[in-house]
Amino acid sequence: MARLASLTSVVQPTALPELIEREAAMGVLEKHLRSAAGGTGHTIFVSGEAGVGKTSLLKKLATECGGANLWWGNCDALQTPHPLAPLHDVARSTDVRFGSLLASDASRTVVFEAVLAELRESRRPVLIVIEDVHWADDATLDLVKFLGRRVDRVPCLLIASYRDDEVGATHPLRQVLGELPSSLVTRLDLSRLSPTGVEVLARRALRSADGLYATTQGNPFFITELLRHGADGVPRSVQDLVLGRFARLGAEARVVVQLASVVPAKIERWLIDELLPATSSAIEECINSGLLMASADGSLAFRHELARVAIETALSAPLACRLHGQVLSALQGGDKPRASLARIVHHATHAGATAAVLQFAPAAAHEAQQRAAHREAAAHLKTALEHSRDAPQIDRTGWLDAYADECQLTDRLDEAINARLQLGTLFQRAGNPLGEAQNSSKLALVHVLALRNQEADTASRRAIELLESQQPGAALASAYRVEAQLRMLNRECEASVAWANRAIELAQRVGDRETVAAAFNTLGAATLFIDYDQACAHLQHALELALAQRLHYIACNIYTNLGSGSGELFKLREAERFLKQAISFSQHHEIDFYRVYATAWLALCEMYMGRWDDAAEHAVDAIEQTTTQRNTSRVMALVALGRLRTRRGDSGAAETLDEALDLALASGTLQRLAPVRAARAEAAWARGDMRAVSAEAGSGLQLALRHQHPWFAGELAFWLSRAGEKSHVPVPCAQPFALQMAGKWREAALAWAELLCPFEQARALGDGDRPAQLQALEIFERLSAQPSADRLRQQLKAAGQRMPRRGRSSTKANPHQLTAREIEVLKLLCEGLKNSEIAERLCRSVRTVDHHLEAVFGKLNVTTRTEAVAAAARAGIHAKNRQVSAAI
Amino acid sequence: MRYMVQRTFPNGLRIPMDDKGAQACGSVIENNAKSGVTWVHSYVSDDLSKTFCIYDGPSPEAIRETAERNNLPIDTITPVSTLSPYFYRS
Repeated sequence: MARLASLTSVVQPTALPELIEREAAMGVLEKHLRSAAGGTGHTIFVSGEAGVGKTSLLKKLATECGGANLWWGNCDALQTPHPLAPLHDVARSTDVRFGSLLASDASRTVVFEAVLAELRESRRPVLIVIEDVHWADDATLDLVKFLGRRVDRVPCLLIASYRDDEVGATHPLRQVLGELPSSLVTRLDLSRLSPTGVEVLARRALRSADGLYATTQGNPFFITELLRHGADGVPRSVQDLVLGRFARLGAEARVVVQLASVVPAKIERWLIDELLPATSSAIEECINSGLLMASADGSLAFRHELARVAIETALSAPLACRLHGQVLSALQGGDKPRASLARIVHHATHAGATAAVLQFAPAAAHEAQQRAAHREAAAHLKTALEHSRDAPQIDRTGWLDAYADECQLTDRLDEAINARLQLGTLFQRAGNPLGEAQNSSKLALVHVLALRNQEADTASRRAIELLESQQPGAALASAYRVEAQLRMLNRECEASVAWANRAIELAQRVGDRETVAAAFNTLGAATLFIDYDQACAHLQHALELALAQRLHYIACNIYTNLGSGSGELFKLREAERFLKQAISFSQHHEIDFYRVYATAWLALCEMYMGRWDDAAEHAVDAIEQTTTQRNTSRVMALVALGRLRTRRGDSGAAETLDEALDLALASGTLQRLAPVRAARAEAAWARGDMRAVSAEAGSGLQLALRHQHPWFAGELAFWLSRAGEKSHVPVPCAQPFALQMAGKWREAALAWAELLCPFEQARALGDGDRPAQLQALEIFERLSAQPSADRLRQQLKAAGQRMPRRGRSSTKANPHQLTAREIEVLKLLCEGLKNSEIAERLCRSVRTVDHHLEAVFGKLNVTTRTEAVAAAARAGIHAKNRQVSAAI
Repeated sequence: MRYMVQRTFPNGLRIPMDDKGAQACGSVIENNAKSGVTWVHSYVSDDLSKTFCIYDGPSPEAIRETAERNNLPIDTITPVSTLSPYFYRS
């Protein structure tokens, strides 16, 4: 609680005035704090413009939070923020166990887990306040996401405040807001005060409210500043007001205020004393003027960030530069830096101190990297590079390389490619073939991610060519591995296997264990299409290697390869199992890319298996999470949704598959193009456009045959034959398609049934005799495949067949008409699981679980979990696991 | 988006004109709201076996999700827009 004391200004004994028009907001905060105390935590985002009173509201809550522990942290307004700055604040002001981890180079996951564990074990509820998350670094945003997804299991109220006018559509905070489940999050938007509220404030200050509302537009900070100190004339803005007050200060006090304005957040007392000795009377004058406040620890801060910015922007450029320079040399003064690296870089940049930038920016980047704050690492490296004209070549190449990596990790692929191209030129000029080759190999991987496969091939080959003329080593092993990866992605399986084996052999010889694991992964993925069981063995081996070395990213990739590879081969049961493992592993390690990719593939598998509601849920989920990205996950999710809409006869199939084609064309690879072409052929067939069926299937078939892919070639040839084109069974061709094309509908239907594909089974039966067609009709109607059912009905009617009645029988009797999925969720609730735990168990998003539970509560006519458990028991629904429910 | 949703009730759709009926409709409205779906109104065939329902919603998937939750069957979902016989007068 030390921090709490420091919140109270020394010169303001009545520090927290009564808040106006905030009763409702306060009520929401207190309600959630109470339920956090009961063990079910929550996240609240408090938003509003600068000066609207976010901090005042939260300080008020903090003073009234009773027995709760307070963890209070701020995000810096530095040019590039310090990673996990808010956690550092907490560790400085409170006795927390995770504090020691922050000082070590523990990985981000370890730090996050430690924070969560500490919250879980806390005997008192914890109120976490993170202010100004619009300035948060990547690692802090990930912390908010990490805690936000699990907060319902710990006694913690997490509050994050931000200025909504600083958070545009592409701001990283938007993504966090979008990804957190709505049942665990509340948003509080603080609005300006009403004219009545302004009047109340004026009356309390024994002042006239005349013109006050018109001047301030109800901004509480502006109002209280005006009321507290009055103003000369009528200031038009907060800036006018602040500058007016500044002008009335004496010369010495003005220097203090100017110095303080270049230091974001607060300026330490020792820093002032060192730079401006003997100014205690000037400091007092600043405090008395109301511009600065003193904290218990002696540091000075502006009453509000708005005031600091008003002064800082009014500084002339040379003066600002000089002040930053003074702060910089003071911070560098001791034996070791006396502030965070991020802060030193901030001042060095603004002081134009090239040597200091080059000394500290790369170190700050390294620190950010360790916390996986990739956006910040990239920003620091960029700063270093901008100052690096006269830096030694070896430093510049190192920074460029690291910069390219960080850009790649933050999805700025064009930047990454540019950096690698520059780097290539540097190495070439310096006559460094090893560096050039390694760079070229990395460039190939970025090109693939950016869906530029041809450039990738060129870069990869260049790397190998350069390295093969050198002594073979780890670099060559890695380059072989990259080439194997490219060939695998392009489904040139045998070539890929050959490259992967060379990579493994060499990597083992030189003891490069990471490349061995990665190469076994690629080998397995390529072998999937040649020998499934052998492939699974390779991949299991790769998985063991990756897990043993804690290479989580590679492990995630292996699970996903097992899942999507099995799916592409129609081994749907295995695919589902691996994909669910991929989802929970990536969820646990917060590797979002693979979570979304596996979700998209799960949607495809569920679509084939006839579980269309689940498929729709997962496809929509993956599409919503990739709205700002043009990547492979999105293509696969669009294919799943497009096929689903076609089969259900729903609108929007065309738009979905157009976007999928656009993305697939950019990649130019079989793996994306073939599924998109097949889905588009199916959609064209459903609307009776046979010319389009031929065109789609024909253009995909060429590619599939070139790659000898039996399933892609099989389906595309099947559509050509359906369109009436003379088409023979291709070689190779997956068996069920070959059977159906050969007119063997009975065998084809059986094959599809064994593969667990009811829609495809019914499609084959539809080619058969009368009883088979009636069976097909039944399957189509059970699936709600309306267009196929209608087509078959017409056909049967024309042939004079008497038809069964249309429509599905009503849901099986259960007293509350709960659906199967609702019952599944309810059972887990009865086991005492929280929403986030149910979501993890079922590989669904918490958002979806929320929906189901709301529906369940409505149908059971209950409002609490305890009542739901009781109602479930009365209806004969019990926990699957009978260790149950004392915890609810 | 506005949609026409066609449903078939093999045994006829019967909503009693009392509290129970009101409750049934109320719970449909409530379930819809969770997915951003609004039931505007419906036409019912004389034999009560078919309904033609006008809905507003974000996507066909959202319409299906709420139908499942409400235990209502779906034949087709067609995106529609309004055409008035007197449109030329305005």
